[in-house]
Amino acid sequence: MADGAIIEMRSLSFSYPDGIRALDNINVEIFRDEAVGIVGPNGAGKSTLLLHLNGLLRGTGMVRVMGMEVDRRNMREIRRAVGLVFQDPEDQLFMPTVYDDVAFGLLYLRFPQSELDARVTNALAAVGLRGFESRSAHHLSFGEKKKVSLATVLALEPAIIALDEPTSNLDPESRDEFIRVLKSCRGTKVVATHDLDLVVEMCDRAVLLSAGKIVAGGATAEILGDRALMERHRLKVPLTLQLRRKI
Amino acid sequence: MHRVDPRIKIIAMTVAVIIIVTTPPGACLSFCAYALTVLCLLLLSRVPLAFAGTRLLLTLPFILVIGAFIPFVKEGEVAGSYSLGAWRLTLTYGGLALFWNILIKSSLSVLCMVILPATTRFDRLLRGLELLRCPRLIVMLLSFMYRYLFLLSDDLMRMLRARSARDCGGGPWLTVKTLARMLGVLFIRTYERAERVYLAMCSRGFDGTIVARDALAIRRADIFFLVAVMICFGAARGVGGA
Repeated sequence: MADGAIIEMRSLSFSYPDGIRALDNINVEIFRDEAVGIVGPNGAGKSTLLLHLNGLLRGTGMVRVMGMEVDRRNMREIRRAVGLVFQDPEDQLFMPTVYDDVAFGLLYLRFPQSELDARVTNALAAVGLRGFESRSAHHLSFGEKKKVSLATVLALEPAIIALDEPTSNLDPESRDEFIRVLKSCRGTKVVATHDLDLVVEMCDRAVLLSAGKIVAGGATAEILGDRALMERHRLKVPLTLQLRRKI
Repeated sequence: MHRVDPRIKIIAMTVAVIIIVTTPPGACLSFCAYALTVLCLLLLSRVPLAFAGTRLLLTLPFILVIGAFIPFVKEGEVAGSYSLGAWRLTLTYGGLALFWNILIKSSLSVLCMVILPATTRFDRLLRGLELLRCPRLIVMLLSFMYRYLFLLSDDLMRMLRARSARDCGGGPWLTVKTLARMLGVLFIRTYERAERVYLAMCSRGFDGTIVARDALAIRRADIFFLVAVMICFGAARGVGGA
């Protein structure tokens, strides 16, 4: 294990059953308490990469999380360590009430009822939705659904939070709120997105994924500020960086 | 009524339905008493009568379709006969009585069951079923159905709207064909959604088993409610038998 790397991927490749090669020889290291943006155009393989972090997909090559190889033996520990927030909250919130959804993971870790209640309350408080326990997910606004999705993961106190397009479909106010909540969360964060301003705002480091390959990696401003690189991969230098430069 | 433990409500209403269904067909007085009891329960639980009525109307077609043949099929004293071409239909008194019996019993039972979801939030109802040892798999299926039914109908609505937006007339046959394809697409979307939901469950530790939370507490008032409902329906049955 590389020194301090909490996530390590070595020559990871993955093809979907229909033959599409979604990941091609991926090598990534992510360190403890780092926030890393995985950026790339549509269909670059960002979501596929995230699904490898907790073994939902298994390709060839090696994935290690907190020093543990992602395989059947370690699955329980790894799923506890990696909290995955899906793009569509409707997929993540499948129980009749918000409480049941936030408690779902805890139930499977066999938490006693007393601690269950405390953790659910804390997780909801952390996303600013105290008192939403008995609400039904169907009747929440999209921004609230997103926040509850995050709470379902926070309740497990994961070491790594992996988010797939966390800001998609959010109005500006909800987006800002969500980013604020995200920033206040502790732990390592991996954000797969093409909202590059989000990456500038919260990630120290960016990895550019295009057609299943990692084409660049480094400090956020350096990667996302490289106009030629961005345009070659159907992306644009984010406005925040353009403005910073003008100033 | 809204505060009664869901388990108690499920048991009370199920027993009430069993009492109603097993009443001898001739006990008219009993049926009147049942109707009165159900009406009291509806009023007590502040379920709007119009709401209960529409629910009843929704189930009536099913009851009628099943029951409509009985007067013609059952043998006995003939009440009338009709000939339709080569067909000869005979209506019997026994059959009519049975039909009436089915109609009244099913209506009363439906009204009893309307009270249950009208006074209990769906998640509490599911918890009640779960605690009553209803197989967890079924409870979970019901829970998913409840969660995703609205999403499914929203999906369908959006597709219908998208079709209407591009519909420049093409005759009824084309409409039917489009609708059929749409249902196909809807099926695939649902299937894919199910796969994503499964992934979301797995990533929070779902391992194929179904874990439940611990019990709700039954209060004295709940027991009182159960006994009261039992006495009312029991007495109603007794009235007709006397």
